[in-house]
Amino acid sequence: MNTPLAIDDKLLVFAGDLPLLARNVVDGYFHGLHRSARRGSSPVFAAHRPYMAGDPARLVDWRVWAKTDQLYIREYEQETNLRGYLYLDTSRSMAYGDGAQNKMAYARLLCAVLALLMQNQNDAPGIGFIGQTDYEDRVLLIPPNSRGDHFHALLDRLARTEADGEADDLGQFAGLLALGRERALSVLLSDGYFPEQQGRDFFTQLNERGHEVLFLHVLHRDEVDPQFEDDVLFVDSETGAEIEADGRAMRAGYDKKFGAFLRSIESLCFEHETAYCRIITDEPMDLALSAFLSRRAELF
Amino acid sequence: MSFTNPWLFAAGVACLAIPVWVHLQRRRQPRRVVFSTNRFIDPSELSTRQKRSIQDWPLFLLRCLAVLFLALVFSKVFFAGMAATPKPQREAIALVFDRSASMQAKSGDETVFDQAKRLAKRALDETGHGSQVAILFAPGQADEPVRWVRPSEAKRTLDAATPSHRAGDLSASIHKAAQSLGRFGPDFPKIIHGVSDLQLSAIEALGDLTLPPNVTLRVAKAGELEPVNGGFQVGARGRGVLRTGVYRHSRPGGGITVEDELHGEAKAGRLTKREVGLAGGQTSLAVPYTAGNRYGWVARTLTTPSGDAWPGDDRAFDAFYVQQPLPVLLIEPKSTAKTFLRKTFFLGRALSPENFSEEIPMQFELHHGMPISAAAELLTLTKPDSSRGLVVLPDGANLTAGGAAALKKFVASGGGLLVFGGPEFQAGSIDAALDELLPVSVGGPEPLDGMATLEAVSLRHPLWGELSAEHRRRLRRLPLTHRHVATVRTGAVTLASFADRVPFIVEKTHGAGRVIFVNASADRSWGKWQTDGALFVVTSHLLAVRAAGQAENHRRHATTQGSAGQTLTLRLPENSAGQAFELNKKSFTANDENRLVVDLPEEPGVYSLTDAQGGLVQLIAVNLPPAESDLAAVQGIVVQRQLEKLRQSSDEEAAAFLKAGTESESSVVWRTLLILLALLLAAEPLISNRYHSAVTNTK
Repeated sequence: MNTPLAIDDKLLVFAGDLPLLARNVVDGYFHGLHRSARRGSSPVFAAHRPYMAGDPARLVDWRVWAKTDQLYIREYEQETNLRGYLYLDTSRSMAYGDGAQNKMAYARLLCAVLALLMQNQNDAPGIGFIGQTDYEDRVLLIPPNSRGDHFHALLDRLARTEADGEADDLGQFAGLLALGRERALSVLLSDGYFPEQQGRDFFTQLNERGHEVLFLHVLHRDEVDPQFEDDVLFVDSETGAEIEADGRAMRAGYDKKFGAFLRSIESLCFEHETAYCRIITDEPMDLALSAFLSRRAELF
Repeated sequence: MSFTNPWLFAAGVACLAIPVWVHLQRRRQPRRVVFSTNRFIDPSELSTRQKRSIQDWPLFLLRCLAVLFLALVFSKVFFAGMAATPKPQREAIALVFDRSASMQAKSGDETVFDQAKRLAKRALDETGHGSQVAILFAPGQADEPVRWVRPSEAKRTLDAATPSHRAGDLSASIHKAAQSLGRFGPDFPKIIHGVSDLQLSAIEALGDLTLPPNVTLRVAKAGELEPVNGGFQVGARGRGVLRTGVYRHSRPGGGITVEDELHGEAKAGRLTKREVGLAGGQTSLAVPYTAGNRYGWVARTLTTPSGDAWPGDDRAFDAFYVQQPLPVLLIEPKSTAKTFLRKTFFLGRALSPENFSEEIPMQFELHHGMPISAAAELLTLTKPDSSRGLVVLPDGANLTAGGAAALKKFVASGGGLLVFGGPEFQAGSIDAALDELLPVSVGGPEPLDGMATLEAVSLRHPLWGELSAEHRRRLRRLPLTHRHVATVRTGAVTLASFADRVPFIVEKTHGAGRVIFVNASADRSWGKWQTDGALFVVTSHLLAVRAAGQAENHRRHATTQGSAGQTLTLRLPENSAGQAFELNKKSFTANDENRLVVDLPEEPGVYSLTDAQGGLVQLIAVNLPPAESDLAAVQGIVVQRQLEKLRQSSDEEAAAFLKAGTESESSVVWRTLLILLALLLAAEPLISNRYHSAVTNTK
């Protein structure tokens, strides 16, 4: 049984220390799993471990059994050439929410957790910051690499990222991604408020390159179920446009439009064979991690 | 409920519109939320006010209360019904009413006195019909009986009351009131109402007062808390001819005008009128007691432009006597001796005003080698008031027959002659020339052992009686080497003699004048007593004064200033005992010690003290008591402390302070309101934050 992975406010005190935070989350997630997620299939021997119910009998080291009369499993270093692309939406709409429920804080931590998972499994994590640009005015992309120092540089850049960009450069990734790469996993962490055509371009480009794609749709509870009571002056975080509305009266119309938006996102994912997982920031991360792992498993 | 400042309360109530406006304004202003995206939001009708106002009510009420309390505090609310016990049907009320000079100060459009009357009448209005009231004015007469009357009659007495110019002490009247309340039985609640401006002179003795436990004291303050008013303080410094009037005004507005008027002269004959501007925060002024070349009693008036709380106290008065200098002729024998060897060198030094400025000022005319006849003639002719002249004759003076005749004439007309012995005293010639004008028959010199002993000097000694014990002790032994063999003549009086009864100082009257002989040399030829200031200077001066006559001498000691209503003791000339004098149409009689005890008038001004024949004895300046006039001297905290002391000194229940219209009790109400206000103001942001965070959390 997995332990629910809620982001504790106290943990966010260490928000600057993303590696530590991510490791906490990952360790918590794997605590109590029956099956090791780390077993590998490479010829490089890693370690012996006692046989546990459920392990395939073919993995038993019979030589050790002959010597010690104990059942041991031989474990090998996992060998992979999986490249993991994490796309973090840094548009201003991601800045919504207070404390632990801030979408950007949540997505950033989730990103770090996923990168750590990849690192632990010898995958090569890389991150693209949608909304941030590099010195050539292209989308900022840290290419995948499995080196340890690369991982720390990645987290460092992640920790310094704020939700202050634009999301209309989603389609620019084509030039940055290499063709013909096998077994690449792309994970998009976004609230989905990008232009639909750009989203379509984005997923199309990934599909063309043979990536497995996972869309982690990060939303705040207020967006899913707005509970404003008073007259509210809504200021669009992206455009600055203002709309004055009665918090109660607007709900019906909002729900209708937001439902249509979700459906359009889901159908977009469906069209592009993209796994879709909706995450509300006041919920644990388990759902996202499970979705990620299952999507990854599909690659092997 | 009443207000000291109803207009402030009205303004405060009007200010209630502020929280209402803020509240409405805040409700009109929708909450601003930076949202992820507006693409799913349709502009909709804003909610109605009715719907949301309910949630704001606590905050709104809290803000309104804060403004209301602020208005109540500033309008100085007081509650007539806040007395601890319900108003009884009848009470014994001693109303101690301050009518001291400071009550004349202005407070707003009326005087503090009028305000106090109103407060007192209000207190009387609240008493039961059968109540007994006694009004005790402070200041009042100590022996005046306390009259208990109905409240209505007491109010009539109050209406007729006028302020005095005297200092008032509440404690004496409160004490008297407490004593008088003892006549009422236990069924009569006993109350002392004090109505005062609570200035320093009124309250400074309150701390020493203890009230009986069954007497309630209620104190009402009239006038502003700390009124500002400047006052004169009239004083003097220095002695004799160097005496100077010193005048201080705590807040002089544009300087002080000093106007001197010689007594008996018409207004047109005023001496001087000076306007002295005080610069740089200076508040005091020193003006000498002089009148040019004129002599007599001078009335001085000081004025400063008004502009403070009490225009009536911008004048002060002073009185002084300008004495005509005594003409003194020192007859120096014709010689070529150096200055300090001259016969009159030490005499001149001893009689200098620098040494004895409190004595009669002396105007010296040193006649070196002048024939005495010419000198005496000069004195008689040039000085109309020849009776006040003095001729000093040291040994060695060459007295001719003509000179002696001139001196005789001079003395007979009232002049004084002071003759010193010495080695060059031509006994035969002077004695013969003056024809027994000298009080002694002078023989030849006889030696002493270097130190002569005099007879003991008592306090009643006509010459040295008033000297200090130290001076009298010194006079016992004189550093003299020689003296004359002298025999007192008939009619002469020995003022001092050696221990062996040989006369030392002898005097004799001749006509209207007086001749004094000193059996010692005026220079150092017969000893060194001239160099002892304590001996020679004192002796010479007293002798000079006595020889010249002392009719006006008492004036230098005259007390010439006092406060309104003060009891003053005046020192009169000798032989005044039993005589009647008049001051401000009131008659006083001098006692056996030539002292006159007078009650000064209440109205400030300069008054004449006259004898039975209507002759002027002296002028007396009457001023307001400085503490009554200089009102800035009293701080609110001082008043509070004195009242606190009084409260502690008596039974707690008995000393409960008036809740209606009194400063001390109203301040309790205001203090409570202030605390409530502070609590409200402290709670407002907390409640406001809590309210808003609650609203935010629901979203």
